Amino acid sequence: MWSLMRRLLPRRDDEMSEEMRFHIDMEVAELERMGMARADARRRALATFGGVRRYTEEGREMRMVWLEDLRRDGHYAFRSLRRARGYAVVVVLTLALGIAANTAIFSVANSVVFRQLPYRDPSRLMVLWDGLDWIGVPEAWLTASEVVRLRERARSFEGFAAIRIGSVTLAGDESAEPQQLGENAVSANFFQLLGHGPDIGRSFAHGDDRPGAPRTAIISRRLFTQRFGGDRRVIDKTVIVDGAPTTIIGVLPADFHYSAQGSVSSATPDADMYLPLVDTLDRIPKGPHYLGVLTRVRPDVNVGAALAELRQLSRDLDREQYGPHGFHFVANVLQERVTRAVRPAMYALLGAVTLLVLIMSMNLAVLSLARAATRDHEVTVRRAIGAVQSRVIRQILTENLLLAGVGSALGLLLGVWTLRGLLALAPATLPRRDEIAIDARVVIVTMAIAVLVGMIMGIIPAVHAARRDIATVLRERGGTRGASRSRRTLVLGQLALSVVLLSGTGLLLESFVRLTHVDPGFDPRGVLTIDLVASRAKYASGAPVVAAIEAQVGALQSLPGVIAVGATGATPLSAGADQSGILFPRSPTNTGVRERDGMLIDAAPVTPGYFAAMGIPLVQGSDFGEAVRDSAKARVAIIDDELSARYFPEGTSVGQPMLFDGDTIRVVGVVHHVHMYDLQDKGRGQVWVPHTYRPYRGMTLVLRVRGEPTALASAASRTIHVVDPQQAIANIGTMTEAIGASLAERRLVLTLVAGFAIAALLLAALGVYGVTAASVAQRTREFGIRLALGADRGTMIATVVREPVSLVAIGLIAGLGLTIVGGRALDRLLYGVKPTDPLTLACVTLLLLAVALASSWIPARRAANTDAMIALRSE
Amino acid sequence: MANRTDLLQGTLELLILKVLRLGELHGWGISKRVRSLSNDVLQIQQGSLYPALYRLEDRGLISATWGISDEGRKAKFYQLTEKGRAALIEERATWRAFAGAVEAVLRST
Repeated sequence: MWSLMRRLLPRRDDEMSEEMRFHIDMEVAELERMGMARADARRRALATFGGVRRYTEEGREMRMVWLEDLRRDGHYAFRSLRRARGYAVVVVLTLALGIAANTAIFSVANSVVFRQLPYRDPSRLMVLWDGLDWIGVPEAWLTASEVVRLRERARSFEGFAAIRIGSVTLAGDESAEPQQLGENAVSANFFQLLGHGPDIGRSFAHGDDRPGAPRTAIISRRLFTQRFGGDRRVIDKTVIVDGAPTTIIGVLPADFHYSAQGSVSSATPDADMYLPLVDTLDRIPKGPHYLGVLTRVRPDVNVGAALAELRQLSRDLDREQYGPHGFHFVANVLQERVTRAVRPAMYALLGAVTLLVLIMSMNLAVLSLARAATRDHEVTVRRAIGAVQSRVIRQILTENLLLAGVGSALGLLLGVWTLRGLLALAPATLPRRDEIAIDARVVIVTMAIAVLVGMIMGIIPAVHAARRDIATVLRERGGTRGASRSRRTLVLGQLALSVVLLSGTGLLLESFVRLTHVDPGFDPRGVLTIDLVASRAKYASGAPVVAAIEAQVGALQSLPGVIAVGATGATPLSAGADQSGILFPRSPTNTGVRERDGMLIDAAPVTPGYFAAMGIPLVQGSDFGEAVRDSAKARVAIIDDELSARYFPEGTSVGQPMLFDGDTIRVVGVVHHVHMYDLQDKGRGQVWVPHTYRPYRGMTLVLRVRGEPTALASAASRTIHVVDPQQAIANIGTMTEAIGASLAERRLVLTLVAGFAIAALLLAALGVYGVTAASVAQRTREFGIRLALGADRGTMIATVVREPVSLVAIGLIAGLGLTIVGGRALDRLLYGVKPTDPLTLACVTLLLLAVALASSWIPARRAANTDAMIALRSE
Repeated sequence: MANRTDLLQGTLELLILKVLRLGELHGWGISKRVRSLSNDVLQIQQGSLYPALYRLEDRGLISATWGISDEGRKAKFYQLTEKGRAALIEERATWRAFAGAVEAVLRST
């Protein structure tokens, strides 16, 4: 490439020199004619000219032949780097590793958080919630009547689609087992509002959601490939869904994701089947809160105006229905909503990797400074013979940019592999996980970082080199004061930023350890869970559903190795509970104000034996007995110890009447509170009712077994199919897995941040070593004299170590300050610790001091062992 | 580099254009011609001359060709272009106006 450019560019440089030579020769001839000796004449001519080289350079500056310069600088950089291969390799590798880490993390953040969802004009897509703050529910599903009202009155929106999350059974046939599928029942305008829908077949049409319309379904790409073998003839095929013939009309593309998130829980997995939500909404006058709502702001209305209209509608509704309590609709832009749960972790990772890249560039700047010191002479001589300052700077910059370019290209490649590894570790709940890839934006950001790093590592030495006084350098030997000051500042910066990373790691680690020690309220060891849905086709609602589940519980009880079996509508950490309102009419803590005495709690049905199977300790009273099988005797409840303590501080809750969603039932027992959502939050109070009282179709069978629970999984599913061969099994897992899954994201963030922190610490240690070694090398003579005069080795070591220790001390103070200020960014990821946690900060302090001492020990020993004679002779 | 401002900014270019109007010259010839025409008062620093020549060449006011000097050596000769001729007339007018104005100020006391 160079040779090509050489041919393309005019070689004016040579021409110029020739012209100058001609000028000088003419001048010499003239002077000779005037009677001067030839040698004198030549000297005089050169003196007036001022050095050929200088004007060649000058001429070139004027012409701005920058491309030619770039070619020369590049060539020069290439040549001089070939002479310093070790340096080049270290720089390129360091950069490659840093860029790889950055590429991987940024790719994830880019795909998960920043990249727009693949919907039409996604900034106008919104999801709505009911803000019921006065009962402690900031985001609830909407009621049917609210959807109807919005459709009637709101003018700023293209439409409102209701979404109900559910689950359906796809019947088995000769080639497949029955399957339990995640299902979204949606209004017919749902895909139209999204602006994204089936790419095979068709979307729902207007009227597909009318009562009595033929049953149609749209399936996910996953179901299409896994169940139907990717055969397009699946369109218009009739399958049995919940016992009813249903025609498949469309298949969604692989990149289609939509999760109508629950009001509290984290992202639900993508639904495999979309059914029309039969539009009888107007016939449900004042129903429960059970609908997710998607809407789109009209293109001719600005988003602010649309939100203002929603606020007005909220006020009307608050006055007319809620009465006034400050009811309001909560509107979230879909993109923001989907990524909300992962954003704190993503930002923490981005921050950590940015710190690492910064530390890395400082490290490279130190290296490049050291290299510049060895080239001081060369650079100074070049300047003395007339090289222009800006050109010297440019040459150093070119060299560094060349290295940065090569390092980044390598880093990008490495990043592809790193990203693969990262994805293997990433929790399955990460939104848009399968979309994560390196795209143009990642490449652009990487390139920008490469240039920036090249600048950081180039500019400091370049400025130094250019500013150096020629005479001083020529007189001096070895390092220079200015350079060592810059180097010290850089190492200080590295230390301070490393402290931030280390403290962050410490805080995350402590949070993690604390979380693993949280009592989840149950005993997870040896618990197998099996999600079942009693088929709608086979079992009518109510008693038959209860009987079907009871039959399974009974059958599993006789399986060898099983200690206890029960069933529940919501396992711990599943976020699967429903919310109900309760009130204890005879609680001594009642104030008489209903809003203050009542409470919204998590509720779920359970079968007798569930608490024993899950290992939830009974605190007071008793478990549901056989009597609750009789639905007339099932108007009872077991509450958790938190509710008991809140309403009956004297422990008299057993036997008390409780208003449960308006129905009066009686408390028969108190159990330990369990974590319903995650380990971090205790969640709401809990009320458990008999399955006979609330006969849910979807239940989780819970088996406490001897030994490894997964070993029993296949025997358990065989037993289930003996009882009902058509019974679909949705999911089999263990509670240990559930705990692991709830910590998965944290584990990943912690692992990565810890990795970055270790890398940062190593780089900082190298920096401290470098500074100390350089200062020892400079002071060899001084040490020799002092040793010769009888100084003892201990004092010598102390002298040498003093500098790195004071460096670390300043770095620590700056870093700890940064941590305390910046630690707030970590807030949402911390559990039980504050950024000012003294233990963590003390550990970081000790660790850093230890590392500083260790890394300055070798040079200190060298100083102490200086041979006085050799040191003095070397002068 | 203070010596380079000996000639007023722009004056050097005017002088070059002027001496080239009399015929093509190489760089050394230009500096010699200026010196002799000004009775050894104006000395062009070579360091200013060549950058100025390249500047003028880039602006298309002069052009250069390689030829053989009187002494039989290879040398680069500069000629005034049409554009340069026009520029000379304009610059000369500007200079005269400027010089006249300065003179008027100096005379006023």
